[in-house]
Amino acid sequence: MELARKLPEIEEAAAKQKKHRTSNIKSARGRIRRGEHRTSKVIGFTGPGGAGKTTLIDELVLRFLNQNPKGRIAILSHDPSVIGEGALLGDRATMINSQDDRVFMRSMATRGQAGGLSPATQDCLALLAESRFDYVIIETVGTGQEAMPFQKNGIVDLTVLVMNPDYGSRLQLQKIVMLDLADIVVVNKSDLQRARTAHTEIEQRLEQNRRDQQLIDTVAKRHRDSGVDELFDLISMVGRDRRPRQTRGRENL
Amino acid sequence: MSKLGQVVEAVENYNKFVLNQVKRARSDEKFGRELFERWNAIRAKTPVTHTPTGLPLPRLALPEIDEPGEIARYFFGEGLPGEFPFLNGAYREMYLEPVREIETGSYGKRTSGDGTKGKASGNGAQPPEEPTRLFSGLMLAEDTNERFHYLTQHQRTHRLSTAFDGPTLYGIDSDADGVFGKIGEGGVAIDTVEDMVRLYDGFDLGSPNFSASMTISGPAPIIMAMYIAAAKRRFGPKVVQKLRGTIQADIFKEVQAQNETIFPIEPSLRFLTDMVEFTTREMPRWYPISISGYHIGEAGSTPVQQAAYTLSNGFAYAEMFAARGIPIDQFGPRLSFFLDCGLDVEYIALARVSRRIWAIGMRDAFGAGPRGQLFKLHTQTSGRSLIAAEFKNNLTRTAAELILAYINATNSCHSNSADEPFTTPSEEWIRLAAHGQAILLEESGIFKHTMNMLSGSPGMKAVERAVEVAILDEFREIERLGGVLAAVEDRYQRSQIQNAAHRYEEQIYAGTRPIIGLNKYRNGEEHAPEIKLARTPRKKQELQVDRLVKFKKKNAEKAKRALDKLVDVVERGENCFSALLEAVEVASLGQITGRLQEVVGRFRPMV
Repeated sequence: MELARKLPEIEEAAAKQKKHRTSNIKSARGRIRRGEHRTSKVIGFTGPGGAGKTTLIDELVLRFLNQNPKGRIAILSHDPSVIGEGALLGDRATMINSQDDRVFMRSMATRGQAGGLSPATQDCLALLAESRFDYVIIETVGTGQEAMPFQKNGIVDLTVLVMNPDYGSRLQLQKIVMLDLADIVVVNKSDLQRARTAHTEIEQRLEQNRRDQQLIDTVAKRHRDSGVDELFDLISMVGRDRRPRQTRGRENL
Repeated sequence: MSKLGQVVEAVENYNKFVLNQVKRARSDEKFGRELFERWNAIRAKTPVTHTPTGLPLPRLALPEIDEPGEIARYFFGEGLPGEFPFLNGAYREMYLEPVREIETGSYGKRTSGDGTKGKASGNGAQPPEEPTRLFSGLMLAEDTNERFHYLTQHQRTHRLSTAFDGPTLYGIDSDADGVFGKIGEGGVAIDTVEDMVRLYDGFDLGSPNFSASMTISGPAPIIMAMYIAAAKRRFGPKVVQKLRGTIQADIFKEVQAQNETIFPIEPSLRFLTDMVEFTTREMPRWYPISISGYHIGEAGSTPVQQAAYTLSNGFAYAEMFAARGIPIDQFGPRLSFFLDCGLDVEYIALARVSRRIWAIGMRDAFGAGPRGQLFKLHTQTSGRSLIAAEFKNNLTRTAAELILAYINATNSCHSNSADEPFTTPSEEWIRLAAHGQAILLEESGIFKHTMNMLSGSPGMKAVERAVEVAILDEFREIERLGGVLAAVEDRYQRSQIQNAAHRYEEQIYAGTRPIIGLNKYRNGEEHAPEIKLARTPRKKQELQVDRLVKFKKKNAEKAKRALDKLVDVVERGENCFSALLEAVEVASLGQITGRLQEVVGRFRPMV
């Protein structure tokens, strides 16, 4: 309940571009950047609209809830604001598994900011990250090729780019900035005919980066999809033997 | 090409065949003479009935044609009532009152030979079932049971139709979080087999004069199992093969229009097929699916969309059941349909055309025998056409829709209650709705003396032609998208229905679609109707929860075992209906859907 009240305060503050922000939030941000009081692992999801980010997150939440009978999870979703008409904030309608008392779900409007997140995202994320959730999942709006939403967000431990097999020609892949930055690239809807080609082309694209990036095929709409299981296992390893973003995250600050 | 593509070809070929027969009748003298002789023989043999004023009328009216080509066009293109392609009726006599001995001497005692007897007039010497079937369901099982007895008190045959409350339609128990206020609202609350026993108390479920209709789709296999279990508790195991009635179980229309789906599409279809496999084998008088356009129509589709999606859904089910290995002549005759009837002009022939397309498709694309070609139809007048403003006008709307429905020779019909825009039908208005049908069928002479009384006018034929062309166009589009299942997953039907609904509302706002009392001839004063609203009292809701909690406590151990077994069967990919029959004895609806959802997932709304 307290979170539900604080988050709009943060949003309002950011919207009014108040220099004078509530001091505890400011200090929370500082603390988290230093890694103090941090209680949650933060996973960022991005990708073009309609690729299946929301469905994928919902399926991961189902696995998390089943495996951790007492675990708690927060989801911070973003929707674009339409000028003068607010934002839809409708992702929860498809998040059937996330409608659970152990899931805190909050939609945010981007309020005119480009790039996939809201002006208040960082502060809200900072607050959630120290609110005793096991995971905080942050989902961007559907993004374009130039988007790199998590670059400045040092507190994101792992970034997942969710792709649609229908991205157009192979050349288009060269333009997608997140393909360089994401820790995990997911080709969702891999039951589509186009998906095999997509996997091969994206795999070649990732090899150019010479980084330890993972490529996973999923069918998020399918119950108990093995690709989603694989993704869940990878995410579960964050902060254990594999710490993909921690060092880099700090550098980016 | 999916089966739907083959259906399109079959109808096109059949229409060519009809034209060829017309030409042949005109050029081939022998063929023409045969047709002409048959035509005259039918006319000569048609018995004459006398109206209450003494006017003699033929029991079957035929067009006044004597040219072999036109006779061929009628025989092959339309068919006599009860004959392929069934444009004029699935059966020969439909609503005609039985021939009375006083009129025709010994006619009623004859057993054969005059061409008017047989399946047409129903069960031998017995009068046919009344076509009235009123939808009802409210509060708890015992309250709905009382309403059932009230509705059928003057009826020879007891044809019940059950509405379930929201939680039941979504497979949720009455004691689940957030459900309490919805218990018994808009339908009856059914959680366990014990509720099912209460629901039909006092009715003889195995009687040939009883049939039950249950309007539920998402959890239909579970509710079906509960019905069977309840019947067995009351009448022993032998009653199962005698059970008559239908359960809606239409998953496609849920996904396209109504949204009461609880499992993802594929497992939903799989559980449905499990049920159909069981009932077509063990319950030869049961209709395990009611392929429904009503909800598509009510969601806002055009009449053509309604017919096209309903028929194509039906063909998709037929394809699916055949793929499971169920013989077409076993399941074909057990399919039935449910259409909406509104005030748009298409409705004058929508069901007629649907019956024809179904017959041709089933015969020529699926190879179904005569019984599997019949499009057996229940119609309901349009709820969407009724409005709260000056609501007594709804009586006229419903009456006009009823006439349209019977012109289409529907096999059974529900007439809406005029107070429906604002409440669960109250007894006063539901009585008027039921009597509307009696006035039309029994009091008026429109439908009881002569078959084809209103069939085949030039205007009706024009509508038939236009509607058939438009339905086939929709089929072609669905086929292009890869068939019904692919189109459903692609949200094709949903998007078309939503678009049509939007256009309809815009027409009302713009005034181009007149709604009397709403956007035309308004009274000016808003009389809020003084109607007693039907609401479920809190005490009853508490009672339902109490009973459920006790049931669960009593059966906790057994339920766990039965559900584990059910899950095993589902995981192995076997037909789970027998395991469901065991599970409903000890587990509640919500317990069963919950466990099944763990295995197959939940339906994700298409938004």
